[in-house]
Amino acid sequence: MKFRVYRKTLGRDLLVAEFSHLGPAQALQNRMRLQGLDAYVQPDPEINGSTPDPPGQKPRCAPDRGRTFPQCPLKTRRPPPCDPSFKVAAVIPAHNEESTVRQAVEDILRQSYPVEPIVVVNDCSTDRTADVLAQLAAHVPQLRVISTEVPRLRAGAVNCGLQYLADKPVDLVMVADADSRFDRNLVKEAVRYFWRYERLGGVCSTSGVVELPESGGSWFRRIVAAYLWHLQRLDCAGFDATRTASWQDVQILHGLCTVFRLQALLSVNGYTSGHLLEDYDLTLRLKKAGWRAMFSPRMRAWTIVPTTFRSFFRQRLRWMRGGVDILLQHGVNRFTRGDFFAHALFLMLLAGVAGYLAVSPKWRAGYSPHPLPIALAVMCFVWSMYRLKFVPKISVKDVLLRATVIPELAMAVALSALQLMSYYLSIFRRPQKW
Amino acid sequence: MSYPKVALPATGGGAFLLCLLFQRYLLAICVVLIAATLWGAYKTLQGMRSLRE
Repeated sequence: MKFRVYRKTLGRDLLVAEFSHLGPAQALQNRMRLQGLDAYVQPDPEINGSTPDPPGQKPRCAPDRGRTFPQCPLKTRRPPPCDPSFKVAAVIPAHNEESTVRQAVEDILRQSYPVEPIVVVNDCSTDRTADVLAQLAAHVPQLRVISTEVPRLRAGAVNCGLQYLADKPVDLVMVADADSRFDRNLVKEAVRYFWRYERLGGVCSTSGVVELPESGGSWFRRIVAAYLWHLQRLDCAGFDATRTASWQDVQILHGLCTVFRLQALLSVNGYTSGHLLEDYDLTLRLKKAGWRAMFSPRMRAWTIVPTTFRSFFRQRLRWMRGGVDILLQHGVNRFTRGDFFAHALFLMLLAGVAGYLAVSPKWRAGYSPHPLPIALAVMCFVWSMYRLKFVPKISVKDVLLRATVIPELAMAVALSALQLMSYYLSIFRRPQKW
Repeated sequence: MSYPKVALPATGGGAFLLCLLFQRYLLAICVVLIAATLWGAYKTLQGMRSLRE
C-alpha cells in the first residue's frame, strides 16, 4: 500500500510525495497545512481506478519525499467540477430596487447549480419593490421575502437573511446586490472552489458593468453618462486585474456578488453595521479568524454603475472614506499592511508631483524632466494598455479612451482630490450623510 | 522562490537607498513607484498563469 500526498490547486492536484506508510504521509500533510497549503493524503488504490505501476517499470511519478513536482505527469481522473452535496442559499438585500430585483432573482433561478432558498430582504423600500417581490414569491416556491420594520441598511439586511438561514441545512450562501446580474455558472464555479479549499471563507466574482441603458435628457447628459460608463468599465476591469494578482488573498470580498461559507460568516457574527464599506470590514475579520478570501475570474457578475457625476463621486467618496475608516480602526497588521503601503504609494506620488512642481528650478526654465519619471510614465502607460485584456467585449471607444490618456488622467486627478478629502473626513471624524 | 520576488525588491531598495544617500528625494520616489509598478505587473501575470492552470 502506498500513500500519496497531494496539494490542491485549481487545476490538476499536484503530487507532492509518496510514502509506504501512512504516518510520514500524514506528518507531511500536517506540515504543509501549517504552511497554509491545502494538502491531503490518498491511499494508492483509491486513485480513481488507476492501476499500480507494473513491476520493474519506472513509476509514472518518481517518489521523492519532501520535494514538489509541479509538472508531475501522474494521470489521475480530474476531480468532479463541484460537489453536489453543498447546499447553497442566496441572500439579497434590497432597498428601492423595483426595476432590478426581479432580474437578479431570475438570474439566480437560472443557475446551473441549485440555489435554495433565495432570501430577499426588503429593507424598508418606499417604491414598488414589495409588490414585485410578492408577485415573484407567488410563482417561485424557493423565494423567501423578509421585510424589515426599520431601515437596517445593507449590513443589517444581510444579517437578517443570515439569521433566517442559521438553522437551515445550508453550507454556502451567495450574498449579492439586487441591482446585479449573474452568469449562469457562477454558483457552480464557486462550489468548485469550496470543494478544493477547506478553509475558504468566501470567493468573490468579477465586477463587470451592465450595458448602458438608453437615457433620455439633453445631449450633454447623454455624453456624460457614456463617458462615465466607459470609464467605470475600464475601472472595473482594473479591479479584476488587481484581484487576479492577489486571487488567493483578495483585499475585499465585494458586495456585488460573493459566495461565503455560512459557517465562516456565522463564526464572525456576519456583517457589522455602521460601516460605509462593510464588505472590507467583514473580509478583514474573516481573515483574522483564519478564513481565506479568494477570487474567481470565472464567476462573472455585472452591476449597474452611476451615470451622473454627482452619484459617481458620492459613491467613490463613500468607498474611499469607508476604506480609510476601516484601516484606521483595524490598525497595521499583516492583513492591512499592503493597503497601508498602497496609501503610502499614493501619497508618495502626490509628494513627487508636488515636489517637482514646487522646488525644481528647471521646471520654470522649461527643461525636460529627468529620464526616470519619463520611464515611470511610459511604463505605466504600457502596463495600462496591457490591462485592457481584462475588459470584456472591448470596443474601439475603450481603447481610444485609454490610449489618449487625458480622459482617464482628468478623472484620476479628481479622484485624487477625493482621496485627500476622504483622509480629512476620516481623520477628523467628520459626520456625513449618505 | 522565483527570481523577481528577490531581485525586484532588492534592486528597488538598493536604488532607493542610493537616491536617498545622494539627496535625490524625487528620484527616490520615482524608484519606489517604478518598483511598485513592476511588482504589480509581475503579480498580475503570475496570477493569470496560476488561474489558467
